[in-house]
Amino acid sequence: MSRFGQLFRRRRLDSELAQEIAAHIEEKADELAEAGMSREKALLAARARFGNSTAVLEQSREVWSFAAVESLLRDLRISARGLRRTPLFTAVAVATLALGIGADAAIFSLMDAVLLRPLPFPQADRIVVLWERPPKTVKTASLGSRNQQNPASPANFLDWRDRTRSFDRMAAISVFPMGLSGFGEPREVDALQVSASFFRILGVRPLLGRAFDMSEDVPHGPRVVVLGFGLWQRQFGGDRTVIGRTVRLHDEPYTILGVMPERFDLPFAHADLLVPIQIARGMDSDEGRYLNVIAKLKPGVSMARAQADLSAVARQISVERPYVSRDWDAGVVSLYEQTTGEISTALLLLFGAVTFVLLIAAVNVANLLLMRGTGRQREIALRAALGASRSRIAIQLLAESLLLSIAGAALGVALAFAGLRAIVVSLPALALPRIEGLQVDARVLAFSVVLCLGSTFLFGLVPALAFSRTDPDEALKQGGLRGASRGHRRMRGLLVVAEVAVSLVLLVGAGLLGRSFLNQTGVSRGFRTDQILTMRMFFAPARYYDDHRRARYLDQILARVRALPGVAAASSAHFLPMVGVVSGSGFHRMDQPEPARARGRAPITSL
Amino acid sequence: MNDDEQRSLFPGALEMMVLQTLRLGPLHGYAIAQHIRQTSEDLLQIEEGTLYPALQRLLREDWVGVEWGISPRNRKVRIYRITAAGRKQLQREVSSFDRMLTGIRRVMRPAES
Repeated sequence: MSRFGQLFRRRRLDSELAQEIAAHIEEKADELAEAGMSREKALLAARARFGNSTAVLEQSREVWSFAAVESLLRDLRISARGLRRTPLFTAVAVATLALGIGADAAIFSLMDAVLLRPLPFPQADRIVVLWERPPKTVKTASLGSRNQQNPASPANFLDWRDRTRSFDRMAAISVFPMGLSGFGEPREVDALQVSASFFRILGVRPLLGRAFDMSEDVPHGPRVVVLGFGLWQRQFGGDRTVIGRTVRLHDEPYTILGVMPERFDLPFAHADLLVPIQIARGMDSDEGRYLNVIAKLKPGVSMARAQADLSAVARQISVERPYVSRDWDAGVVSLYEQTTGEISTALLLLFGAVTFVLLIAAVNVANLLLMRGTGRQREIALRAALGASRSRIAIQLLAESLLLSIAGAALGVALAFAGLRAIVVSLPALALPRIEGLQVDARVLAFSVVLCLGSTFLFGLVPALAFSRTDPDEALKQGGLRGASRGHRRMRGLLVVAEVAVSLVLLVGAGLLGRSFLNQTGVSRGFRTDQILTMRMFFAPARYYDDHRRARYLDQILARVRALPGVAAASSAHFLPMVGVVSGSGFHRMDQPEPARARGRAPITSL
Repeated sequence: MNDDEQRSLFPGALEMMVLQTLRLGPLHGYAIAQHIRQTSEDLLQIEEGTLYPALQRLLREDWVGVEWGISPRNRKVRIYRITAAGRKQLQREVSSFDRMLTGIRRVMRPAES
């Protein structure tokens, strides 16, 4: 007999079994009556000998596998009815769970987008970021200084590129604003100057047209530009005929070569457009450090080997150009590490925190269920007396918990979805890397299902075990007395203790975080920032190539700004203080001989 | 269900005895229970109800077959008979049961050896 067939013949099986059991008891009674018992007594004795016939029927049914599924469905139906009868309890429990599960799912999707998903570049595990490492005595103000990450100078980049053996390709990247004109409204855009190998390292192809190649990435090479998707849409209306046309950047004509695909962004830099960096040895100011460097490891080369290779070259450089590179080292960091490094700790911390919140929610619901169960002890006792086994009762109570967490999870995922929109909108661009990949998708839903089942067991198991132990005799004897038994009170006490403990951990963690935040923001800058406004502008090199001309123009601007009503004072600076970038220049003591000059230019002394 | 009586049999013991009983010929549930009680000379007081889940398990494994019939007392009952697979299973269980018994005896009478 196939089990599938059995499923359809279930009712027949049930009635057959019932008939069979009835016949068994009758025959037993017949036998006892023949031995001289009264018919009534014989029937009672036969039933006693047989045992609990309901339980027997149920156990027989459970032998066939469908019984388990079926009884679960029945339990769910019964539970749904029960929950509908107590709407307030249901609403509170579902809302509590929704908050817990929703927060956890939201943070999980953040982690998923930022940490778990692979970087959107082919062979991304071979892409690395290279930094200069200043000696401990040098205080740098660059953004990555905490991790000993300093941008590289063009001279050092060229030596790395030409002398190392571990990398297939190496590209320099420099981020700087450019004035875009000659096409619609003039505006300042974020330009990335990059080496031609940039495209090969990242494995990205333009959506339209082509990228620039090695022959164009040479000093005094052609002025060409590849537009970013966003800028192409905003400024050029997505016009496909822009390829080959000319725009003006810093007041010089550039030919549009191509358009990058949508969503192309470096994890650490946003670009409106890309132009060739065109660096070469011997160019002016090639020892200032402002380049980001990416490279692709040769197949099979380990990070350690690449690091040793690069460090060796850095040592040579520090000997060759001590006036600018003494004791400087260089470091290799994987692109993944670079992208997620600092943020991953924060996200994991956040994830831990919301998981604690979910725990608290689960304990709360467990408590609610315990209180509700106390009121239902008679019902449970009755079921036990009628032959329900302990596991049957526990499963039925768990079914109720399952329904609650399914409802909670559904609502929670909806909350997470809405919450994530809010997070993305409120975050400044690039505050979180890869945030654009954020979405509530199948992975997040799968995680929510796991959360849902996990929390069911977490908050459902305690009451289920507590009440399935109900002794029918005692509970029924207690009659209308609805006080919680000592055991249940004890269990609720334990839950409250657990809850307070978890809350305390959360509070202490939050307090510490808040404290370090205050420490950071409370640092005195040494000047007042209120009532001070700043703005930024760039001089097109073509028009303001000469320092005097630039200074004259700046003086004119400042004079006109000072003349504005409400302006008390106005000034200008190369870089604003505390923005993470500084410029340096060399000096030497007049009473000592000038240090050896490098290629005839003013020497720079490292401090 | 009475836990004490359950505990007195090891899992699968009842099924083994049912198969052994049916080896002598087809019987209905009540007769199987009677036979086990009588041949054990009342040493095995099984709760008769537990017989039925055991019979369902045997049916599920196709070790017994079943059809409707009439009992000696003229009641409509389901009559069970052992299948070929059931006989093989019985042989397997008896031999492993024998080994187990021998082992237990050796442990329980260490002083005699």
